[in-house]
Amino acid sequence: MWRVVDARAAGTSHRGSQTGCQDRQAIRRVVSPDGVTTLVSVISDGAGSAARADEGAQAVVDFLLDAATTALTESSDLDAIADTTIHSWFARLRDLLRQRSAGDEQRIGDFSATALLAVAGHHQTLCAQLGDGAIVLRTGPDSPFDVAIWPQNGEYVNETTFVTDPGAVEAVELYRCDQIDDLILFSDGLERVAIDLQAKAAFGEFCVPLVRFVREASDNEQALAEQLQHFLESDRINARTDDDKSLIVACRLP
Amino acid sequence: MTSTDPAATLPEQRSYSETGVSGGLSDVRLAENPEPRCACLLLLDTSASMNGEPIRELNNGLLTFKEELMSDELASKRVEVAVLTFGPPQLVTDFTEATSFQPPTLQASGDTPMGAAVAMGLDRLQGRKRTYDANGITRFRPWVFLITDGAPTDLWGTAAQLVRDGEARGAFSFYAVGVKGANFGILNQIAPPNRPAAQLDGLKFRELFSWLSKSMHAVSRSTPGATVNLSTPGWLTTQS
Repeated sequence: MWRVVDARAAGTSHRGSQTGCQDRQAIRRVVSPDGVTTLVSVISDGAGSAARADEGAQAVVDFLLDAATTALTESSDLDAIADTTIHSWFARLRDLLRQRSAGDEQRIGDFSATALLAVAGHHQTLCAQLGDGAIVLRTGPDSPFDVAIWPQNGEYVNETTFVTDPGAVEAVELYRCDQIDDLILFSDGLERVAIDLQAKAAFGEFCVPLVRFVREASDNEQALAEQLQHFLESDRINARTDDDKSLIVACRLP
Repeated sequence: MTSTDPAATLPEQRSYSETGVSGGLSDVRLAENPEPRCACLLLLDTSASMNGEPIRELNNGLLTFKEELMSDELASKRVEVAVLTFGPPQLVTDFTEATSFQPPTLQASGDTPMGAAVAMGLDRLQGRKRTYDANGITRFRPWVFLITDGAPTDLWGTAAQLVRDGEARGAFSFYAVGVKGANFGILNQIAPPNRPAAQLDGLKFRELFSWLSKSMHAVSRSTPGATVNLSTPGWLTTQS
């Protein structure tokens, strides 16, 4: 079974303004007809100055959780979810946001948000990503943490792709692997502390203790989530980023 | 369809070698990555016509620039400044972090080889980009700032093409500023079409560099999807 802890915190750049945290994160455990449970995790980062970014992020999370749930309700076999199916989810998601902007193509950008999706099944794993932030995972205790898909920044660190962009569907990147034991998703607010940019790799000294915290704790998920939230709001994190940050840590327990 | 895991799906038992004395989240270490950089290339006309009050005010402007970049912690670490003067074209200060930038005291002499200076500056900027890439340093879009009070005394067609190509590729944002006496006809053929040359009000170099510094503060902390709000330039001439 999975033990999952998640939290989010507003960036310090939002202090003194009306804007709250525009990141959203959620997980769902879905049981397929064969009794297999699959963990679905989603993070979305609403864009800085977009008028309805928090709504956009919430829509991304809700839509992808529901889309994955519908597929898993048919079968726990992740290979049954074709690449084209996932791309069609993002096309439908963009349509949904266009409808919410009253069909006004100019206003769809008000909902600008990124998307990180991780589906961890019994023997298979599937990740999809649009925009920045990252999913890191490992197949076992002796394996290194891998970055599933590299954060999608353009040439510049202050640019990325959003689900609302005209080329969003084509820009979605997919990653598939076998069974994983540990999974971490985070929004771009944590990129610079969780990734070694020079080595182009996950930062093990961040990931390993984080996973150990979840794996070995005797507290329940709720108590762990509170501790994780304090960590995200801590001075040492805020000294390194003034952006919103969200984090999901999932471990398959023996 | 949503529930906790049934025991039937448990994977086989595994041992976790990292088990030890748990310090909880205090054991989590944060990666130390280099700050992303925003390169700011200053192409400054120091030809003989700048002699006297103009060059003195330009030098004061550079002091203001340094001072105000340092007033912002993030900008002081992220903005890199290079100063290239003409003529003759000379890289007075190669790209350096704002914290270690020493504003040079410039002297006016010679003619105005603007074409060569622009080409040399953009080449240096390209070199700096390669250094960032090789070291895993992420970047903001660089700013190139050309200030002149005259007209090029060399061939400038190639330079104009380099500016247009670079702007079109998004390789940098190019700003041209003319001091009184500048040939705006030519300057606007060098400047990108979407951002024509601006005219400096008198010798308000300090206001100009104060604005540039504020712009660098804004750019160097911008995040994806956020609009970078530049303050109103208080140094533009009101006459057109």
